[in-house]
Amino acid sequence: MIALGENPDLFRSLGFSVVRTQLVALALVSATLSLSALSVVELTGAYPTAGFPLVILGLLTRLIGGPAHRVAFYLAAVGVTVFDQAAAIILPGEWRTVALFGALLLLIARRSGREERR
Amino acid sequence: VTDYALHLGVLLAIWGALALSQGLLTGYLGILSVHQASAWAIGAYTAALLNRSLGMPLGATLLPGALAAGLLVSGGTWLVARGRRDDQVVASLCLQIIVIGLLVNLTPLTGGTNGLADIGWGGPDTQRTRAIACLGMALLLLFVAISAYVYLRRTSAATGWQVIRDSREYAESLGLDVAGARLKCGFLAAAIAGGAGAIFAHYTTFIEPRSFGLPESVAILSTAVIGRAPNVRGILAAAAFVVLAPEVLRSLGTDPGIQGNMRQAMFGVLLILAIVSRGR
Repeated sequence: MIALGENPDLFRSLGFSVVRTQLVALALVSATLSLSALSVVELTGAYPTAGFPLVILGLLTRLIGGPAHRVAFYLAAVGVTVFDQAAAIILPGEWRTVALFGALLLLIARRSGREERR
Repeated sequence: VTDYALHLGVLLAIWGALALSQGLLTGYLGILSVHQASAWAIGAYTAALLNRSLGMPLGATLLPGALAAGLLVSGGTWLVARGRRDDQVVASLCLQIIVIGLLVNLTPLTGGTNGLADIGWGGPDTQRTRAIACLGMALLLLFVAISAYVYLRRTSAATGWQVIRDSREYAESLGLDVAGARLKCGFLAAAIAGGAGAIFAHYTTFIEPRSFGLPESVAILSTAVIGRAPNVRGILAAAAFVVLAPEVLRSLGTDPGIQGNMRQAMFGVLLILAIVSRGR
């Protein structure tokens, strides 16, 4: 899966099935998400957008920590959770959302800037 | 002409301008953004505030609304455009949510979740005269937006933008100003959406942050994708679908509670078909 993410053409040329690997990856992602949704529903209740803030936290973690097979990813997950909870204590209601998405936008802008300079 | 036809005319012209504004970003620069409703919102709030505090009429708030949206959102669009395709959508989502979050939180200025009411248009306060005035302004804005497309096609600007869309590295090697192109296109797109917002505020007399949320941004992006931007006719046809689909559902006697969801479902199916046919 990591190889497919890095270079799909090379992955295909080595004889692996791109579609099959993608389907397996999506099935694993869906299954993991469903398991985490079960625990989230206990806290927030079930509604169509219940998982949205957590998906954003996941994106932040991925942007800071890199791919999930590295230790940095898990350290980033802890850091992002601490940042989110600290924002919840310091900032009132909707400002927390602005802070969270502002941080995400800055990180993406920084990464994009670095990639453009390469 | 009935009041209902006038109402549909205003909505068609406003959505036509919004769809064309998104078409500039998606069609010429290949930016998949979901923050065009934030430019729409800034135009609407600028017009509402100018009208409520200084009594400025419909015609006078159009330009400030367009300029405010252009100046405030084009920087964000530039940031969004720098990323890869997947990053663009996420960065754009962030921008949309930040702008709406600010509108909700800056309560003394924006009225927060209660929004701003009693927005006049500078003439006799009857629904029909208001609709006629707003229709005139919206058609003028639509004409400006279509003229922008015609102008871009006649100059080398559109070609340069499409080169940037296809390959930034190649565009840079040709000496094209990539950052400048992104800023110009972002400004033009946001200004058109801001102008549409100013007319919308005067037409509805009441605005709130929820009117400019993520579903609206997604609908605006969908018009550009389904309409195969920068194809002007296709974009306008897709915008007409956004406005007319709920009316058709209503005429069929559909439950009002599911009309909104049905429209989104129909849009989803159309989007999938557009993406599949584009892939071929």
